[in-house]
Amino acid sequence: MNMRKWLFATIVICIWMGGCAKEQGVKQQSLQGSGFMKTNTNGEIQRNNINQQTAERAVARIKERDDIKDAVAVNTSEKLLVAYQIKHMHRFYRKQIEKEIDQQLIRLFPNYQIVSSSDLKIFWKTEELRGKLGKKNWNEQKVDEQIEKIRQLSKERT
Amino acid sequence: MMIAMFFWAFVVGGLICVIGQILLDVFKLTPAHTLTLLVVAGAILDGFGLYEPLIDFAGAGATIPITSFGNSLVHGALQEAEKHGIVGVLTGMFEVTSAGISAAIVFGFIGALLFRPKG
Amino acid sequence: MMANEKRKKLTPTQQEYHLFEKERETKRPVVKNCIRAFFVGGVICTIGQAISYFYMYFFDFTEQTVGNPTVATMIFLSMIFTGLGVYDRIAQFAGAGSAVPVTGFGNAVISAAIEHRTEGFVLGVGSNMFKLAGSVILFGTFAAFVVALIKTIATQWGGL
Repeated sequence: MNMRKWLFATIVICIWMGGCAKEQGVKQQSLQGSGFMKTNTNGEIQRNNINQQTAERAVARIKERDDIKDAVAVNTSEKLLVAYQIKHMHRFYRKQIEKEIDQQLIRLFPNYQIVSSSDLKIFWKTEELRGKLGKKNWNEQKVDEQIEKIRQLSKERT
Repeated sequence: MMIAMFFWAFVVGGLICVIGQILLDVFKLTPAHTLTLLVVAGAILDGFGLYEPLIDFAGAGATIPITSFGNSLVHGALQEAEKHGIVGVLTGMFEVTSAGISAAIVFGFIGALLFRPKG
Repeated sequence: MMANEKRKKLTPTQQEYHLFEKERETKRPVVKNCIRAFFVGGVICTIGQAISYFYMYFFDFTEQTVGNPTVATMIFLSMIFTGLGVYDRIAQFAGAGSAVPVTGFGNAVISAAIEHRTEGFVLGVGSNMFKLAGSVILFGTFAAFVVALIKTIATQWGGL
């Protein structure tokens, strides 16, 4: 009787613990799985569309100026590339306008490394980059590289 | 954008040529004197920082006339002077202008090889 | 001033002739020439603008850097037209309109090179190429030197 009692208790405990252990294992596994899924989806989100709110704000701000005809911008988490076209009659003051807009952007977005240009070629390039953002194989690093390339192009003088 | 640029390139380029024509006809200068005067004028205008805005405004209307030659000579010199001090004025002179002169030399020679004198 | 002094030294008949000559001198049609120069010069610059847009659109040139290839292309075109004898005909019609753009500079160099070809490449082409354009290069370079020197001194030591 006593023997049986002990045996019974031991079996119950064993099964229970075993069950528990099993359940825990399953739980852990599922947790791991969901964690894995989560990071995965996060990556997916970042890959497909880098948050362009900053760029949109910058465009809106620049278009407010009455000497600017058109503007386009692209941003990553570190860099902000802004290209704009000056209205033709204001092109005499291009240098001054460029300086003003540069300062304005630095004030508005102090956390970003800013590249801005009034050059038509840079405008075309920025527009092209903007169109490519939605594509699947574009990640932030690639965009950063492109922005750096455009920045170097805009710095060339001769 | 582009149409405005073409229009102003036409007008500004045309006007610079009219200045040249007036120097020829009214002041009775020889063509060599006229061109020389225009180049010097371009250099001086750039010295006052007035030629660059004109290029921004009229594009090729300001870069194609010979006045831009003086402008880009000064520009190259100033650019280099900023980097290397006063010596840069000498060394940087042809930095920006190289295209015009080297193209004239190269194509001049090729032209001499290809074509025979007329008459 | 020089002309006036010279005239005073002339005999009365010479002076009379001088006036007569001046009266009979064919008046240059200034306005007509200016209009022609305006249109031809304008068209050449518009072609230049088209070429620079071409380079900007299809190659990695910006508005800042497109000047050099554009000028080189214009001089290339000027070589073709000079060699075919078309540029001289345009120049007769347009006057300064074809002389002031860089194509005119190119034309001066190239036509001198072609013309002196018969004298050999070294003595003919080499030494005569810059006969007309040399003064442009000389005075352009010297003026640029003076201007840049003054500006550099003014900005670096004058603190302007």
